Amino acid sequence: MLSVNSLNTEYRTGRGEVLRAARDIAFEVEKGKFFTLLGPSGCGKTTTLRSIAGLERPLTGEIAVNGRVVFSSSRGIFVALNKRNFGMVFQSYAIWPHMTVFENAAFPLQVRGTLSRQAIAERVGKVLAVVALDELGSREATKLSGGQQQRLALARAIVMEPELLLLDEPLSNLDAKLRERMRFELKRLQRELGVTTIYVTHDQAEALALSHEVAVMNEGRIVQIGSPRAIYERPLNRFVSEFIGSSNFVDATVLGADNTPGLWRVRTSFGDLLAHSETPLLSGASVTLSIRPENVVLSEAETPAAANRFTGMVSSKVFQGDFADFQIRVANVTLLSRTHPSLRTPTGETVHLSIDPEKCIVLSSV
Amino acid sequence: MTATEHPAIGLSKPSGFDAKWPIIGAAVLIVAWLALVPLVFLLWQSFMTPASPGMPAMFTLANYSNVYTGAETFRLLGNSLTFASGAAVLSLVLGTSLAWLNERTNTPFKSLVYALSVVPLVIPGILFVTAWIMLASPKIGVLNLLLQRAFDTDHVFFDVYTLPGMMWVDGIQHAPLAFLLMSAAFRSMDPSLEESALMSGASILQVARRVTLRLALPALAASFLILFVRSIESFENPALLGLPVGIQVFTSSIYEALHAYPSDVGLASTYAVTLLVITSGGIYWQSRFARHGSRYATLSGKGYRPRRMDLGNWRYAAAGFFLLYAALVIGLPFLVLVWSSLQRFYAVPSLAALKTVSLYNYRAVMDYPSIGNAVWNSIFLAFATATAVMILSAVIGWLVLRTRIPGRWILDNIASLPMVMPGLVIGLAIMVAYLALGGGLYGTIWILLIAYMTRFLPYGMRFNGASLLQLHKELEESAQLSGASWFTTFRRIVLPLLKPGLIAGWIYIVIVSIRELSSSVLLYSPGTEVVSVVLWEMWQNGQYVQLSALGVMLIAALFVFVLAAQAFGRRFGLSEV
Repeated sequence: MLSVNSLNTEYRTGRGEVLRAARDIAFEVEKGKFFTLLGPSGCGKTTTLRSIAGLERPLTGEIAVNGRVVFSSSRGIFVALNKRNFGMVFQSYAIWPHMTVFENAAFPLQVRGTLSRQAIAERVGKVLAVVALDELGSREATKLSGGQQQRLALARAIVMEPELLLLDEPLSNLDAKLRERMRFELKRLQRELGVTTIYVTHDQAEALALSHEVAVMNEGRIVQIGSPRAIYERPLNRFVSEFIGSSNFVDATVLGADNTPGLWRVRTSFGDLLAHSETPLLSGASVTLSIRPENVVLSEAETPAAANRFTGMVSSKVFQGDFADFQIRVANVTLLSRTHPSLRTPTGETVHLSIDPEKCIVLSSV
Repeated sequence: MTATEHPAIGLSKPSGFDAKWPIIGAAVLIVAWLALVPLVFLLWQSFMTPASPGMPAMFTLANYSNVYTGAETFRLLGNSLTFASGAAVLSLVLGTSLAWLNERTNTPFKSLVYALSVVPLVIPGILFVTAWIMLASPKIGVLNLLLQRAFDTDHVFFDVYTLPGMMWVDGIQHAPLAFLLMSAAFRSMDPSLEESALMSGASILQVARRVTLRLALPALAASFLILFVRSIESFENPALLGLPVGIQVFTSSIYEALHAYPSDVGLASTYAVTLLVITSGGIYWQSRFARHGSRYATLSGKGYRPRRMDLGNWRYAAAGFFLLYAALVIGLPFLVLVWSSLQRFYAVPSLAALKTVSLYNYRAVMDYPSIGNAVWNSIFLAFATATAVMILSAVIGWLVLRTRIPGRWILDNIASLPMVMPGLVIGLAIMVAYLALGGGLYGTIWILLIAYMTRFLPYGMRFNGASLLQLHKELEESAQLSGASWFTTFRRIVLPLLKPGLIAGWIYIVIVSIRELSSSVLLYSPGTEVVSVVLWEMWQNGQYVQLSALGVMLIAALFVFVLAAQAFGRRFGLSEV
């Protein structure tokens, strides 16, 4: 459906420096899927989205939608953005303040000039009903609340039945409660409409909740593409692991392969571990392990000796309401463990840890 | 002093005297005197018969009844409104198209258009109008003569001595101002409003018409009114182009009423009051529209670089438009002035006339009887006005923005009042006031200083107000907590922090003071001429070639001053001067 190939962009800053915002970006999105570009600010995700939209002209690369090439540097193709037929929701919503709700949503149909006045009214009415704004058609757009503006922007973007829906951090201007509700709304709408969607966000929770597939970006490059679960459970490197959730990083040396395929024996400063690696490892190689805090399971009772079981001491703890964070001292290493708040082991007491070998990830690169 | 007699640092010496109230009081009195007294006397004069040696002035309504029942006045009103709105529409259309092309498209030569915005500053109105007379008068206009020669006809192609001609000259003179106003409006618009329209499939023209211009509507209305007021206040243009052919507007009629014999001050004052009503209305509605416009300013926090739309091959046409504009606003007027300044007797550019080029006129200007005096007067007035206005408006601005004194907004309005007063009206009002009050100021250079200070006080208020708004109150409060008196705080903290704004405003007022003509022309006497008045005299005497030479020198001097100001402004981090 959408394919982006070796996309590179460049622009000059005010001081004349050349900044490479996106480097060798390449990905494919299947029809009807929800694809997210996730990364910290300045990672090039917005530039990539604006390049797809046609708001920016990349230096090199190729972008095609449904087999139609909309940009190709080698063939000198650049389809003007008003001929691309993509819908877009801007971060600021960009609701036109001089128009009513209806006029805002009708604009994309009016400028095409192919539908009759009545057909336009019908289509707009349907779309406004989808976003639950059908009662407010004649209201001035500036009189809408933040959430309503966001839904109007969405209605305007989908009213022309675009081939591609582009969303640039559409939830970031909403307050926390509304943001959570709109997440479900957005997911439901996208599924119902079946429109291929590209979503840009810096919020990892949003990305995991909404997407079929996530591309994590850093410093202009895509560092990992995968399903939300794969990205979270099997991060390729320290950046992904750190950016999405929190993680314990442990230095280790590879001892050799375990009998179970995919598992490897490694040595850390607090003892030997079984860890998972997607790629084969060389014995003696130095690696870094990533262990999610919720996978460090604590218990006060001693458990039978087995792989990946250690004894440590609670060095501090923080009660967070729906969970509790414990810092556990094991030998000379401190591990963070996220547990059910019912665990009440006092600071300074001994506690027993176990880590599932499958959840103990050897990072393939640093 | 020995270590034992250590004065307590925490306690300042118990001085009972605070300089705050005397200084503020003096500033309030000066401002009220400057802005209100002439206005009161102007109103008074409009209800009085002219005083003559045998007859004291008496109350009368005749001025108003004569003015408002005469058909002449309605012709005057019609001419003034037509002239001002025509000129404003022309400059607004030009300025808006230029601003749109410059801000929103990829037309080349962008920096050229920006550079040209200083033109109205460096070319005084009288020179701009004179230059266009030399270009497009039916008899001696270069454009006419060249076209007539080319087509071998005696058809008159352009005639500036008509109402459309006057609108044309005034319109292109103010186009750079319209460009600046509309550029600012376009820049404060959230670019994603237009991007989303493009994403919706609209064409560039549809976006411009249905989104950009619609959103700019309040700004367009406000800019139109500013330009309208500028044009209706304009004196040089109607005096030079309209008076010779009997096309009269309010300003030229005021001038004529005063220079007729016997002069009719009452009639002039009545015209002036009428003009004041029109300009006040214009400024009032302008501020209403400007406030309305801020409702649309929905700038998002995220600073996108606005996308430039690709005009394709049309951008060369747009670049041609830029160059044509440059030629009309500065190229042709300046060249024709330079050409005529090099001719001993005015001649149309040709190879034959090229042989008679000489610097004779420049020498003649140096020998002009009052020139030395005039240059000195202009410099003195410019520096004195700028310094006095900036200090005065800093104190008033502080009082308005920093204190909670009841009625301070009245003071703000009084200080901004001269904004609605055309230069000619200020000149007339001050003339009336100081003739009636006596005191011997009339006929001295001080009367000009008073007029300039009155006229440019609102500029000072604007520059100082803008920088005071950015100055955190805590900076002053901590100085006072450190034990500084009000005067010390003002001198050591407020003034230094206002410095960039003070310098920018000072330079601006110096420039506009040097160009000032419409007040000066009513208030000068032999010995107190200024440079612009010398230009005016030369025009009256028909010394066009000497006028051109003096004009070229004045433009060069003002240009150097603007360049210096910009270099200076950059050092202080000012974006515009």
